Amino acid sequence: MIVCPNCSARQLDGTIFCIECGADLINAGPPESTRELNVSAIESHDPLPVSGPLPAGEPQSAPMVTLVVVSSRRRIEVDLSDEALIGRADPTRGIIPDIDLGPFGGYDAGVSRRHAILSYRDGTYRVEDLGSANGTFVNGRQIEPMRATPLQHGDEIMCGTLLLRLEIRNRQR
Amino acid sequence: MAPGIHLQQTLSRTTLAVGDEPQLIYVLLEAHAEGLVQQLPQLPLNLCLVIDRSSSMRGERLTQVKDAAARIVDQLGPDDYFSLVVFNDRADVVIPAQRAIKKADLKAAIAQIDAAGGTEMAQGMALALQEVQRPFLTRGISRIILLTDGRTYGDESRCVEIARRGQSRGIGLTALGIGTEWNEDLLETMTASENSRAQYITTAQDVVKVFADEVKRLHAIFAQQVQLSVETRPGALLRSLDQVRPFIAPITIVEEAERRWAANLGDWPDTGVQGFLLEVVVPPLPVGDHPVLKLTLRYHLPGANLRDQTRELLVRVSLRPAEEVAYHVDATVKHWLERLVAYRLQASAWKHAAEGRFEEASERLQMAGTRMLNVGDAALAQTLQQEATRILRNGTVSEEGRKRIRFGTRGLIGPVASDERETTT
Repeated sequence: MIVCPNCSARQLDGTIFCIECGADLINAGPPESTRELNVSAIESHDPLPVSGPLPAGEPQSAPMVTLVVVSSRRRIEVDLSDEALIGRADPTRGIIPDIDLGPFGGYDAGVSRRHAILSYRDGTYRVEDLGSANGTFVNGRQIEPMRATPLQHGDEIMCGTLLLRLEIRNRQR
Repeated sequence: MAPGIHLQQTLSRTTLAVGDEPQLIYVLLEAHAEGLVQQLPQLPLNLCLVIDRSSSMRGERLTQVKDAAARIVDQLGPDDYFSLVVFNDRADVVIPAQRAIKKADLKAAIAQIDAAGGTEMAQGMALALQEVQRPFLTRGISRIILLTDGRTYGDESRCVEIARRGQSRGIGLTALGIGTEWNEDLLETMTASENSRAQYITTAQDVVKVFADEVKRLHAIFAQQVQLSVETRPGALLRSLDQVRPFIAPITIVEEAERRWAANLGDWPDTGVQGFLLEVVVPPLPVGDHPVLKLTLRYHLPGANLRDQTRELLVRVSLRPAEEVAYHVDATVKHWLERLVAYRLQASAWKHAAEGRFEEASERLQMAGTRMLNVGDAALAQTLQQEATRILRNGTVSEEGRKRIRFGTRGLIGPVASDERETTT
């Protein structure tokens, strides 16, 4: 059995595209070396707040946002005390982005290893494309590379063809 | 070499690792004419054109359609039959079924058509079926070509019923939709049968080419009533069978007997490749070489007066200890599967959308976009992306986007690129 990295559906060995969601199970996965990389990336990815619960009782000092991967409805919790790199992990090149879209079908969707930067400063959330191969889009509009574009709650950020929705957690105080 | 059909198989994997679980393989079955079928006499064609002449056809559309119809007359030979039916709120036989001999008269009649009124398709279809059944052909190809740019209201089920009646008598239907207003559900339902298909014509300028291509294709038919039967070894299962070349079409498979499936594949022209993709579940097997499927193609070659010709193909896999097996998937199989997956994803997107599950619909469209991007259709990938976003925001898609997606993922936006043989081998 293979488990689809995108939607977790169980598939017969030898399946090339997931029957449920259509994700590529070869580049994302099965008995090739890439799968080991991806699996380990998912499992050992603690430094990053992938769906980690909010620390209880902590004052809402750290700007927390959630990126919802629309295709799988998975939620990625992000701490933006510091800038966060959006990309695809490539341990052989030493690229470990803060927000690794590899496990969410990033390779298929054309997410670059170093795709964009998500940041929070002076009360404003921003995204900046790092000259990625397939571009970054905010609400369907391609943003200029190397220029931080302000974001609001509910905005759709598309990296390559992977659609994310920004949810700003503590926007109401 | 005697004329016939050549079969070729490509497996996603030919060597599988031994294990306790069933495994999936994909079999690409490709067929093309062999042995000088071009020397067989051309089969007579019995063609009925059904043209929508509602007021929305006025102007360039009707001009191009009339031009295209006149060119069809030029393409026909003295053994071919031609008839022409037009419809708006009512239907008229402009040219009763006759041999295409007095071509100047036929063209003069075509030139008289003008546009007015509404769209009532069933009347037109009923008259067309009547005309196309007039000539008595001992052998040949009977087809209705329907062109419309609008929605018919209230008589949809009658349209489907008439189309089915024709199909059950071997009369295929090619339904062409032009513009963005026509009802793609209706045309797809009417053409959900062998020897039939719906196609999307995005601009009037394409009409002449689409008509001419269709007549050329019909003239090239050499094999009729092609049937495929698939027998599996015990424990194996045929999970799906779809046509992938020259365009994508789901195929009805019937389990005729235990472990034996059958499908009707219609008439085939000798111009290109017919490609089919089978998904087969292989049960756990010991080390060794094992036959998994027996494919039998049965067909008539009316031009050579040969009936019930058969070709067989045995599909085998080799089982090896896991450590000796490198996981490798054939790129050609993956390519056609990827197109098919995009088509299936969009189909499931419309289902989700109809149930009000717009997020799921959007995901499916988006993934279909990724698939189309990978197979190299960036324009369609972009349309899919746009509509995925639109459906998420508004809960709807655009008429044009939906048509482009439905017909584009199948490869049925006309003129359809010719799918010639050299691309396979």
